[in-house]
This record gives sequence, C-alpha cells and structure tokens, in this order.
Amino acid sequence: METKDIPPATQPLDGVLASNTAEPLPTPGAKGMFLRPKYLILTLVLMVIFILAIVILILRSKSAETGPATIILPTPTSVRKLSPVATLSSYLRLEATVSAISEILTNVSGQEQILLPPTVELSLDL
Amino acid sequence: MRKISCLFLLLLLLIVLAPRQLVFASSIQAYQDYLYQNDLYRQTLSGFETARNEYRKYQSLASQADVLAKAKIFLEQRVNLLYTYLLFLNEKISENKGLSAAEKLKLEQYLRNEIVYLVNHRNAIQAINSLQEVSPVSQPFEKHYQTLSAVMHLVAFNIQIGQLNDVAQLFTDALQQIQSLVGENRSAFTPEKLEQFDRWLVSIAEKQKLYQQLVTQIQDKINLLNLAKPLDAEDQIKQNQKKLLQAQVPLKDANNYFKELINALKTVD
Repeated sequence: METKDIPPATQPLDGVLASNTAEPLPTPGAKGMFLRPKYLILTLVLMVIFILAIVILILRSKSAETGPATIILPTPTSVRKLSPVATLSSYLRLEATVSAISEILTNVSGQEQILLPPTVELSLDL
Repeated sequence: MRKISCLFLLLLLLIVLAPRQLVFASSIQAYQDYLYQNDLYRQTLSGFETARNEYRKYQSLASQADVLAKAKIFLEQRVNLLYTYLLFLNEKISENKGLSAAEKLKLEQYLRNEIVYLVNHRNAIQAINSLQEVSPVSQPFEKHYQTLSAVMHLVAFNIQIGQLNDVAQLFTDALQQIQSLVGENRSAFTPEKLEQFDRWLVSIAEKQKLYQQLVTQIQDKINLLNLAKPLDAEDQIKQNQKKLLQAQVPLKDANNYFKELINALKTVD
C-alpha cells in the first residue's frame, strides 16, 4: 500500500485535546439539547392553539350568558323604524327573557313532582 | 419534550371537550342516584317481606337467619334512599339562585342534622346481631321519621319558592326593560298604540304585585313553622303547596301579557 505524507498539524496536538475537553460535544437528552428548533416550534404552535382555545371558551361562555347567538327572529317593522340597533337588541333581549320565564315556570311545575319526598315503610311487623 | 407536548395536547382536549353543562350536572347526578336507590329500596323491601312471610310460616332457623339478613339489608337501604334524597336536596339548594345565602345556610343546616342522624342510625343497623335487636334499632328511627319528613317537605318547598323568586327577579328586570323601551320611543307610536301599551304595562304590573303579595304571605307562614311539632308543620307545608301553585297563576298571566305586548310592538305600522 502506498503511504501518503500526512500534512503537519496547524496547531499542536496538545492544544486540540485541551480544547475538546473544555467544550464536549452535546449528547442527546443533555441539558443543552432542551430547545431544539423543531421542538421549540411545536411548543410555540401548541401554546398558540391553547391560548386560542381559552379565548374561544371565554367567548362561548359570554354568548351563553346573553343567550344563543343564533336566534333569528323576524325584524319587527316598528322596531326597525324606531332605532335600528339599540331597539332591536332590546327587543331580542326581551323576547329571550320572556321565553326564559316561560321555561322556568314550566320547570317549576315539573319540579314539584321531582322534589316530592320518598315514602318509606316504617313498620317492620316482625 | 414529547411529554410536554402531550401534556399540552391533553389540556387542550380537556378544555375543548369539557361539557358546558357541568355546573348543572351535580343535582341531575344526585337525582339519578336517588332514583337508583329508590329502585334498590323497592327490591329490598320486597325481599324482606318475602323472607318475613317465610319465617312466619316455617319458624325454622334457616328462615330466621334469612329474615335477619333481609331485615338488615332493608333497613340499610331505607337509610340509603333517604340519604341520597337529602343529598339531592342539598345540591338543589346550592344551585338555587332565588334563595339568599342566609336561607341556604339555614336549610343546609337542617339537612346536615338529618344526615348525621341517618349515619348514626346506619351504624346501629350494622351492629345488629339477632332478630330481637331489629325492632329496638328501628323504633327510634320510626319516631324520628316525622321530623325527618317535615324537614324534607320544608326544604323541598323552600327550593320551589327560591325558583319562583328567581323568575320574579327576571320578570322585574324584563318589565323595566320594556317600560324604558316604550318610554324612550313614545314619539314613534300613535296615541292609540301608546294607550294600548300602557294598558298592558299596568296589567302586567298588577299581576306581578298580586303574585308578590301571595308569595310573601306564604313565606311569612312558612317562616313561622315550628319543626318541634313536625306533623303540624308538614300539614301547613302541604296546604301552602296548593297556595304556591295558585300564586304562580298571576305570574303566568303576566308573562302571557308580556308576549302580547311584544307582539303589539312588532305589529305597529
């Protein structure tokens, strides 16, 4: 086999060894590997989705307080004539309240039966 | 890192998929438990009655052992049924928007006392070792049952009053809204229409006043009830139950007037 001349090292071997021992290469799972770019991006994406989900939930709960957002009622001509925005919203709120009152009143009548205490057999007659 | 990602995903799923009716689930769950215990109670009662008939017929040691076992199961189930009913009432009190904090506290205290009594009674049942011990353990409960029954009726009645108070509050708010709506836009209506609206508003206010008077009368009577005389108290509650039904009539009428008024608002040219 042919042997080639090895070019001389640009720095002494001792110096190379010394620099290697001072900064060892990172190994997978070591502390320095915590924020790998792909994991960092994944974490950020998940955090954004998480925050969005919370915002959606807050909005949903707010809409639940004010009644369903999908109520479609015929726009009363008189109300439209009076005040296009404020009066219509007042009207819708009133309709929702009256429906809620009817519903609760119906429930109260049903509750009477549900709340009726049980009757139990007292005498053992042994 | 993967664990953190999984944790995020899990939290996300939990938030998005969490049922929105969770707040109201507790009394529904408690009611389902009560119904289940009621079924079990019927079964154990039937089992006990069969065993008792067998014992009366044969008077054998085997039938005696059987009736003792069935009596203990029945007595325990009787306690379980009442216990789950009291828990159901407790949940209903917590969810009730029409009862004040002081009223809730008072009713919860009544329930707590009865729950403690039932727990002690259950411990006594579990300690029964012979057929002769069954009746002496059951008798104090039979005497106490009048008080327990009066408490159950009283709490259930107050829950209904609370629900009606909640409706009345909604109603007051709605009346104010519609009064201001009509008031702010008087210039837009014809005098005939305004007269019609005013008549509806007066009728609604009168019905609401009548309802309030009836409920106040009922509440005053209920507040004077003496649970030391449980039978009288229970009779009073049953009488007032009928009055409470009558009190709902003006509120229902007023709500119908409300609908009419809103329709009148809709049909103005």
